[in-house]
Amino acid sequence: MIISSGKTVRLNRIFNPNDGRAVCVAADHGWMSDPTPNVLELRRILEQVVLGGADAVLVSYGTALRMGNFFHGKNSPALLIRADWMNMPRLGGSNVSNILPAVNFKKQATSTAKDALLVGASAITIYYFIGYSDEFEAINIEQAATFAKECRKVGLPLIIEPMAVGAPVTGVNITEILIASARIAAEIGADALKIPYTNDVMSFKKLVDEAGVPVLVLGGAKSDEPRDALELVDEAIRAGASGVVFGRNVTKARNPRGMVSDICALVHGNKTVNQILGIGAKKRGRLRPVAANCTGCQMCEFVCTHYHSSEYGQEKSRLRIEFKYKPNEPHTSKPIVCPLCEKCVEACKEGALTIGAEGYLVLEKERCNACGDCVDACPLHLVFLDDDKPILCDLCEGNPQCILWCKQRAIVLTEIKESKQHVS
Amino acid sequence: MNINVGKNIRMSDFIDSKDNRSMLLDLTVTSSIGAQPGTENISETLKQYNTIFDGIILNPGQLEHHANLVGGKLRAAPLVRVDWTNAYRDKEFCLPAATVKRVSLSDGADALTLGASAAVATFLLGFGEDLESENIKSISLLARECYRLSLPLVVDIRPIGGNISADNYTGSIKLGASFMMEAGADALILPECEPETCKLIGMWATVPVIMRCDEVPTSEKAQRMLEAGMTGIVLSEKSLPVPGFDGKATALRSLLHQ
Amino acid sequence: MSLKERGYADNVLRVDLTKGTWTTERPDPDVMKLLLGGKGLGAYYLYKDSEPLVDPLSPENPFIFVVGPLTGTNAPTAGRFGVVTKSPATHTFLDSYCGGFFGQTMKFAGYDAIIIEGASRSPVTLVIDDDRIHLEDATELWGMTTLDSTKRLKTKYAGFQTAVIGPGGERMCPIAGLFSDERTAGRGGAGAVLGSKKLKGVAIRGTGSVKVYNPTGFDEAAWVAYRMLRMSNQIKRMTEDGTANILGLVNAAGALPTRNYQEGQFEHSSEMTGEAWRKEYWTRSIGCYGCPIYCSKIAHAKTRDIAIDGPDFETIWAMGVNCGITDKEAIIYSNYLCDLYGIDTISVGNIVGFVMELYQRKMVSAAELDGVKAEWGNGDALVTLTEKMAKGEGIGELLQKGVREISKHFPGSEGFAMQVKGLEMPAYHPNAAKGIGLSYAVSDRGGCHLRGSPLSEILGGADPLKTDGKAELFMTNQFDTSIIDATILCYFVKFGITLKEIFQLVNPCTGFEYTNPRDLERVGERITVLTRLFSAREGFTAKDDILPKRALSEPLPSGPAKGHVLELGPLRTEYYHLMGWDENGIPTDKRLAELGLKELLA
Repeated sequence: MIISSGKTVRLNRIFNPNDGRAVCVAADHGWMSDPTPNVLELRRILEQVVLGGADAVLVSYGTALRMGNFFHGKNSPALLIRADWMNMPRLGGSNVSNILPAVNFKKQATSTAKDALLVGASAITIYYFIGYSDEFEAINIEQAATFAKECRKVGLPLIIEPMAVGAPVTGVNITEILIASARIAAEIGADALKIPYTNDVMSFKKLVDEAGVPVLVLGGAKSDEPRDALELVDEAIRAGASGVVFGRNVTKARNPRGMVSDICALVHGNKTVNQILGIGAKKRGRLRPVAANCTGCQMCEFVCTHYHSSEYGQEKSRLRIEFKYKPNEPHTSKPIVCPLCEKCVEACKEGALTIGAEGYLVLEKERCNACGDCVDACPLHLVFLDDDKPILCDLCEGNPQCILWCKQRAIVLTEIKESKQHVS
Repeated sequence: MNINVGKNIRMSDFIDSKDNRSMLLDLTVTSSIGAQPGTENISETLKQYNTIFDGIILNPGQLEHHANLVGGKLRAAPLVRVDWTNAYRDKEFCLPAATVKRVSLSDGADALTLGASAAVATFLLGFGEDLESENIKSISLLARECYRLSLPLVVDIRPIGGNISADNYTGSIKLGASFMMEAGADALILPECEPETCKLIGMWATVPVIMRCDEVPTSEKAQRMLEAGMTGIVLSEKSLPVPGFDGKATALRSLLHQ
Repeated sequence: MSLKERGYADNVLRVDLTKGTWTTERPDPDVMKLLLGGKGLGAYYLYKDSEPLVDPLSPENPFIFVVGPLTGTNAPTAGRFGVVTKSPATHTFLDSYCGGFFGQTMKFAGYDAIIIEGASRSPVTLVIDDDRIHLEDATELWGMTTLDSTKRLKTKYAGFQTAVIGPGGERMCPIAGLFSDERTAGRGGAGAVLGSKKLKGVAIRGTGSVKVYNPTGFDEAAWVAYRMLRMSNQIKRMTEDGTANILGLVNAAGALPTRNYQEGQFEHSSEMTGEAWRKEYWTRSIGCYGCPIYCSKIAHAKTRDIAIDGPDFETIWAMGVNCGITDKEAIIYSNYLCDLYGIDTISVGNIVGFVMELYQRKMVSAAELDGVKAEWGNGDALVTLTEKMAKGEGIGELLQKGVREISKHFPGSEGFAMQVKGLEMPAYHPNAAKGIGLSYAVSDRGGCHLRGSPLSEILGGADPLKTDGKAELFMTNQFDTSIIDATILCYFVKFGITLKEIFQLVNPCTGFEYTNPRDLERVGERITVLTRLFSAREGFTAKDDILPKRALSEPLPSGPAKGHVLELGPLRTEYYHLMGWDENGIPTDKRLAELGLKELLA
């Protein structure tokens, strides 16, 4: 038997009753930081978010009033209201480009639970900042306790968002602080938490276990690589999280709808990150350098070496970064990668080299006599002999590491649609 | 005629009206320093101990979420901690407190809504006059609210500040007890102190006085406390992760409620 | 298991330039576990191998190249190297770090440290091709700019990485650094020490690799570290707008030293931000080895046919804000001159700011400055004075010695000679950021922001004007930074990962089984204390942990920190106390024993 029906009914609107999980999108950034494109185009983005199948959307009070239409209907996302305000994004700590930077940390309670309830909210979300100063934390606790009392009175769920922020927060204590803060928030009266990932599954599991209330992981700053956000969701779910509240990784994504549905596939669909990104489903393609994007960091060289030899180095890389030195100007660089020209295949009289069925170079070691013809044939000098066997680009058997690691996309994979007839 | 029926009824939820004895468990330090050994999973802890104790002190959030595990005729009555402090964050904690703060977490009306049988407030001593005067103010307001609402107010006296030394420790307990009697507390929780101090406070306090222990006292020690006029014992979370806790706690219960 | 399986090369090269000979030795694994490598290893050798009170420019001062356990691995920014020696600028311990591609090459060549001893009679270059080593005559290179000598070496030794000094280092001027391509180990006069040894540079090639203790665990940790860097807003900002992305924030806090620290806010700051430079000048980014940040921005001058790596935040501040200058062409060209002649841009900008204040106060005339009208905002004056310093000509002969030496010639100017122990202070005003102010006073190498300054206090992490908790904040930052410098990673990873992630990399790399990040933090403390012991042995005490009068008793006239001075005394006392040092700033025997240093140095 459940007596507090208000909170129960409203939590059921947020968390899917079948799996007890929720995919929430935070779209309250315009309330606290600069009017960036994700703020200015919120209406368009929210349309996408709804289509992606978000379970709930977190917005400010004002946005709820203006854009209430997104929350109409049984299958629409539940409305979560941000009931407080703070200036953290405008402090240097998060270092966004600020119209009006701030120096000292401030926070205010801006709505009441009742206000939120009256506009149809299914929960309110408030911050709990720990780590900046004892005074500031006490203000946070006091505000959170007031909200907790109001929420109990009106039957509205309270989502507390603990954040370990401030100079005293270091690598030594950040995980312990987050774990403690999750429990502290639950003690005060949080019905669910929105909290940063601790960046390892084990400690996050401890956090979830000790919190004792549903934990939603937040995404934080946006990565250019959607994989990063999805991995984070995957790890958090494995640690026992009940879902996510993702903001910028969704609202700033090129395709917010796709991002939400990908997250839903992880959270509700039990899919893996690789399944969602289509990794493992080997794509036929060839590497193509984009010289203008290359910064010369040589990460591609060392991940290539490491993938093939388990050592850390650059000597045995199957691609290389070529540097150019002009007078009176710092160097420029470009990747030299195997374009699958097949000159080596043609040169191999023993037929040890072929383009395999999956579209990458395969060496049949038994047939190779280490004659070095392939080495001589490579117009880019990428093939060399090591331990009497030719070393050449095998596209990491269809999952090129250079592409996975190159953040600036100086190497891309051009897909080959038709399988090419090749000489053998 | 009893003038405050409500308070008396609620008080009897956690102080046995037959023998006037009480055995409590305090699980609230977690609001300051997170989960502690033995309290990682609060519902497990409650399931395990809710029939051994007469009352369990919980923070508001835990009481709300685990109300089905407390209260009623067979189980420990819930008492709610109405304040938060970082005073327990010592060097062992990941974020030691530099400035000690105490803020309110709940109030009388909220405590009643939660179904608590009493409000438990913390009176911190030895942290300087700013904190002390704030603490006095908030407990006075609470005492008046609790009177209007017929909710028992228990005050937990904690002389743990930097100004407390071996010399003034006992005196500080007396001072705290005296202040809180004057403020309108319905029961006091004292830190461990000499039997003479207990006796003295027990004599002039006209309300139940309960002693806080970090480990289950031996039967001799418990006997001495009772003889010194104590109404009972509140065990802190520190007593939980000790081997044989269940047996010792059960034995203590039999001793208290002979 | 040997150190070779634990991320190290397990090999130290010792080169005696006096005799022209070299030997190798194996480092002690116990020392490695206690001090990790990099800064720690360099500090250990410097302490053990040098006699107290040697002249830093004498053959008796060792010069040590170091890399760390993470160098050359797939950890982010793991291509850096450090140099450790006694500083000719401060006479204290000196460590300075440099990006580019030299560090990982040194590791791949098979060295954890290269110790240069003695001095050559004539200029030489040290050429290292894996384990093949030779010293070759560098008479032709002597006198060449860094760019020209680098080009010559790289042409002769294709596929090698280089580190060279410029004419500034050859002249042994205390603001001279060491240059690897466009990257610099700039501060504290490392270049001068090499100049005194007549070592023009090092060319190195390494074809080896690094092995770690637990590759699976290491790969996971490396992936998480990169992921966190990719997901950090601060890193993203640094990628977009370079290190100067914070200029507006520092200015907003009133902590941007303006016109030689007379003010804390610059009225033209919006023209000097990373954003402004990006729009006007920056054409592309270059990355150091394994760096996902690539803060290096390339600026092409409009009025001259040159392009430089930079200017970075500190240079923009030193040559711009600190001199009241907004002329970007002048800043670019001055930066270029510094690179060419091998001197430090922070010190140069600080010196020019100091000269400009002397000029403002009519303590120096244009005639005494070879005709330069050193007015605030005068870009031409900046260029001319920089050139004179770079070449050591005219007034430049005095100026190149740093503000402490210059101020001795201008009685009454000591109070606004903005240096600590002889090292010119950087871009954060000590009056407006109390923790940073403390760090300047007690850091290993004098007025420096990269030896534990809690920059977070002006980036929103704490109230910069409060002193509460700042000693502790500086202390923990100092330990963290020591670990970054021991492993060796780039300082900027701090903006995306923490000591926890470094701990997660160090354990599988070394197999040393540090129990938790706090345990690793103790290693950082041990290194910090070791460098303190070195300087204490040189005679440094609390009386040297001091800032100029401007910081201590001249309240800032305006801005958010208006009216503020640095309350150094109590902060310093608190810091010594927290560190377990005596009131004179000397580590106590008790603390040394607790840290295992007593035994180590016995």
